[in-house]
Amino acid sequence: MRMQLVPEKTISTLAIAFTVLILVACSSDGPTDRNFSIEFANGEPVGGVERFTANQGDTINIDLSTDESATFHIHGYDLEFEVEAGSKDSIELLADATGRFAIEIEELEQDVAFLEIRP
Amino acid sequence: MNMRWQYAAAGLTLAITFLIAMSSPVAAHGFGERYDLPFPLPYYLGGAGLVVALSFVIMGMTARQWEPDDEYPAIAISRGFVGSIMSGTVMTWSVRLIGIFAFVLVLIAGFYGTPVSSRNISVVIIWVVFWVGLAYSSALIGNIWVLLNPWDSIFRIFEAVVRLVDLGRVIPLNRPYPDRLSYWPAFTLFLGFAWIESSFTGSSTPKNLATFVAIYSFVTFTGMFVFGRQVWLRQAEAFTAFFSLLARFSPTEVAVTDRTVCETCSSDCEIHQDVCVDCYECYEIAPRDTRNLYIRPYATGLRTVERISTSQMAMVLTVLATVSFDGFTATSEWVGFFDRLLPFFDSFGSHTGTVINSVGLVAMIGVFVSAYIVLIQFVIMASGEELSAGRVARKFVLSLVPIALAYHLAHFFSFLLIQGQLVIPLLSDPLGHDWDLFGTADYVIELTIVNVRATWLISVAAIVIGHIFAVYLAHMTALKTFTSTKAALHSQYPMLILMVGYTMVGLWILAQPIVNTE
Repeated sequence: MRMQLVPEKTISTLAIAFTVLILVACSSDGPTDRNFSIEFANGEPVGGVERFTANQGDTINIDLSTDESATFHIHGYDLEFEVEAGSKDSIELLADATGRFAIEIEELEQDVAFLEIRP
Repeated sequence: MNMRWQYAAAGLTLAITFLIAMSSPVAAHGFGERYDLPFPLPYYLGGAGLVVALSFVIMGMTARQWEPDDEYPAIAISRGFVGSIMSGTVMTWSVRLIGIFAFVLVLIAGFYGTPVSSRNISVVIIWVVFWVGLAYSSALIGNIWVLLNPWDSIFRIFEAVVRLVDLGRVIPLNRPYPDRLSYWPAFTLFLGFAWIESSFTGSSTPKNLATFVAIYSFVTFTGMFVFGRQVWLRQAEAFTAFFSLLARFSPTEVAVTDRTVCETCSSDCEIHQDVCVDCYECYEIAPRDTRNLYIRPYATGLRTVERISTSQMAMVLTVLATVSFDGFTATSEWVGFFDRLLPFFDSFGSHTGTVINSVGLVAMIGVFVSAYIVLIQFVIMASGEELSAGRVARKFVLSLVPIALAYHLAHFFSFLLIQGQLVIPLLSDPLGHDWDLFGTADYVIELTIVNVRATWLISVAAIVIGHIFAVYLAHMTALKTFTSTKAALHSQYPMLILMVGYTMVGLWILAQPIVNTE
């Protein structure tokens, strides 16, 4: 019996079966619009550092407001938005890339929220 | 006299390393960022389930009087015209020159380039191309480090110059390498690298990297000068030891089929059935018709169970621990542990982070070594045979490598595809001085190249496959180590527990929410 081949065949078959199973089991809904908001006051995001979850393909709208002028940076997507002290702004982006992306205030090097885009 | 040189060199290296550590700023922002999402539960459970189920399949096969072969299928691929080009001097030296070029680039970019890590090519070369990319290639393709090693190539040029000028009688010294040293220098140097990679908070600063490369070059060239290039490479050069270990898993090997060549070449390569495999010194001096490049099944190279020394075993266990520690530091368990230790290490000021990380790394290595030693005791007890623990430990250690490898590959898969793209703009602007040599300086990283679900699937598949190879290798080793099949089978129950446990740790780390530590 050529033992080098048998474990490989078993593994490959099981790996393929497992993969098919996962692919079939995971199905996501159609693209939707999602709204999130970050309010930055007194050096902290109000309500703490939140995790925003969305699915790939969604259109995401984030409202930003801050008591001091700040530059919000969405990592990964590499988007930057300067918001003046005491004012509001909003970002819209298409969630085409999956993953976990920090939203940070550049000047303070502080993470204020995380955007999680699931497949 | 030689021992004192070694200790002096080691002491000097450590001292300089600490001096640099004390003087560097915290890691620059932006490089090495991970956008991974942790595994969802079904993947974790599915992976775990497969791992356990397939382990028992292999146990079952062993029980049914399986006779492992010493021979394995191998296809020769370097005969003929294509083969002679591939192993020819032009080809090998082209690759060597690439290695030298990258080495020089790291030094220049590190010392003269921008301190911003994401805009300096030295950082990407070391942490993406070298640590991850080369690890992948070594494990999945073959031991390309043998050609890319810049210290080997540069010293060869030095030797050629010396021969030309006929100073051969004086330089290099070629003192005999003390047997007691064995692989300990490689182990120590690799440990230093592991510390830089996992614990040192200034590890993305270009100048620090260039300095470490310079120090390592000094140590390596000195060692080669004193003991001889090949002797040093084989037992004391950390990266040759590391990549050769990974390359044992790979599907390619070089072999010399003439026994007399193997016996007369300078290194003491192992000779099985008149063939010496993966002995590069022999390969270089062998006549063309007695040497060849072969394709073989994965993990075959991890089967060699003779002559793994204690220091080699220590190195293997350190590689395992380092790879796991790297991922573990991103989990909230570690962050909690870190926060609880902070008050005790306050006196180190800005270096508290490095110190606590170092404690963690040492502890992780300690845990791996102790767990392994304890486990080997159980393996021997379960078998019912009387064998020395040291010998059994050395025989089985290589079988754990596929698990570490699978975890390393899974952990860095998306990192390689995303941060790896930084090579494109950096080739046009390696020093971060706003150049644009090839017109690619404005390239923006394409995130959609890797889908998170694909990463999950590949990670789970890699871990399951790595585990299966590990169990398979351990069973084969057991059948060759113990005298009866029954003893071998019983000895594998504790080993199975260890391997399943180790694989679960890898799966668990991948399933943890990634906590960003600043």
